[in-house]
Amino acid sequence: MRGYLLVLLRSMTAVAAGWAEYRLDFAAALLTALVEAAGRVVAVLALVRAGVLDLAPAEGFVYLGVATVVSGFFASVVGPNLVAFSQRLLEGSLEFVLLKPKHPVFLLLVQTASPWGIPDLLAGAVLLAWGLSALGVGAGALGLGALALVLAVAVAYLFAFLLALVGFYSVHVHNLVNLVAGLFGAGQYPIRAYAAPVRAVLTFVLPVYLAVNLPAELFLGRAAAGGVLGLLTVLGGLWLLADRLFALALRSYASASG
Amino acid sequence: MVRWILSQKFLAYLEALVAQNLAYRGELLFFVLAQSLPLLFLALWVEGGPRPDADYARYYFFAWLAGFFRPTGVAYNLGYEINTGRLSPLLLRPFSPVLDHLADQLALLLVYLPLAMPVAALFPALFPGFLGGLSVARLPGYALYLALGFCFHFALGWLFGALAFFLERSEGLLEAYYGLLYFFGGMTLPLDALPPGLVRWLGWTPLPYLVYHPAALAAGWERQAGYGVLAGWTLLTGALAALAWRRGLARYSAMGA
Repeated sequence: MRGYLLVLLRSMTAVAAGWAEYRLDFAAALLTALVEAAGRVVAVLALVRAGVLDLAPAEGFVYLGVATVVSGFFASVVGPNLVAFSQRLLEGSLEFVLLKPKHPVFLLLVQTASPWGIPDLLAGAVLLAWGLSALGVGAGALGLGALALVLAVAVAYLFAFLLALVGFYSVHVHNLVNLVAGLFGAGQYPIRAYAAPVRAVLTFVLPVYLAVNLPAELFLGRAAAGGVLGLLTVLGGLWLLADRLFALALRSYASASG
Repeated sequence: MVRWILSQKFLAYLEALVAQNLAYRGELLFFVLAQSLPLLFLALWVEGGPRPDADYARYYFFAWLAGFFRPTGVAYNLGYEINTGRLSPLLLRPFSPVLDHLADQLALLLVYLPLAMPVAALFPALFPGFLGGLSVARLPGYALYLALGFCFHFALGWLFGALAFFLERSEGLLEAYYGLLYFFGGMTLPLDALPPGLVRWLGWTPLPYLVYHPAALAAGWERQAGYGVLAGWTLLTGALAALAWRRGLARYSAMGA
């Protein structure tokens, strides 16, 4: 375990050193996050006013905050790593990962990161803090919600990784990652506000309820604490699945000769 | 240039680029699906919105369709060519690289539209009153908006792409623009749901004329036309793009040349 933490730390410091290169890019990302956060706030208020969302505005901000944090995590970690993974498949350089003594799936998940999501992570944290303080949420719900949020982000990541395994059979996964990130964005509102077929897809086909709505509901005290256990179980299951499916997909990997 | 566009050469070029873009149709299908994400908001409105379902379906259909007429990918392509020096061989030819990119974006559009058909077919299938409320008389106005929007986004993409002459990367600006369009252009919410003061102010920007007004017009929600504002913004953006291109070319040194 210590070895894995060390790899994670080394990977993070190397990545952070690379960021210093494109400072202007980061300023643009900050601008984008500001624009989008403003847009999301205006949208959630408009939907509450129109009666489409049956929520108090502060509750809406909690849902929105969690979704924005997840979106920032996608931009910072999920997207860059999955794109780097597909690039390895394309170039036939997956060997560099396979030859290392740690689990390849773990190494693929922590190989890089981008500062692009940091503004979204900050905006999400601000929205969350705003909503939670307006509602006067207690320490117990705060702890539970924060724990659930960490687990939920991991669930979303592993789920996206499973989809990225398509990269073994098709060329690019960039748009696929964008699509998944966008679908998780649907969790910025309670899933129950969507029309029934969409609600079913977001609950059972994609773990959007689990990965985005559930932490918000734990913050708000609307879901039972057992939800955390549920997240933990799903996370374990997804890891086992990722491990098996990666091994299976690897059989179709023909390196640079393929 | 106009004669060249109309000539057989351009058509042959277009044909080649259609074939080239078809090679990535799997990838493009994911793009079409990602492009359809704002339709999630349709699922919110039909569940709790005050209008009839088919009304919302028509609005979101036309808002979604307008999304394919946004050739902003030219910003990435041009920026890449400038950064890597691949622009140099294109400059040696007897016509402007603008035509390369125009042909590429038109070809992309021709590949997207058939791919988008399955999603389009969902609308009449899911919403029984969808076709009944359509009117052919409103379509020319919608098409004019789309044509102007295509020109505006091509100019904007060219402007952002040409900024690569001066900055190391310029993609971030496009992301910020899309953030604005997404929430304040009408892609996610019809603008009549936003506070009226904000909407009046937005009327001076190009944003509502790119999604909200075209979709509301085609869906039969309103008759107001704002082609003038959009045409003005297109001219302004085009002029800025031309300026950035000229100035940029003057300082362009390719790969260390």
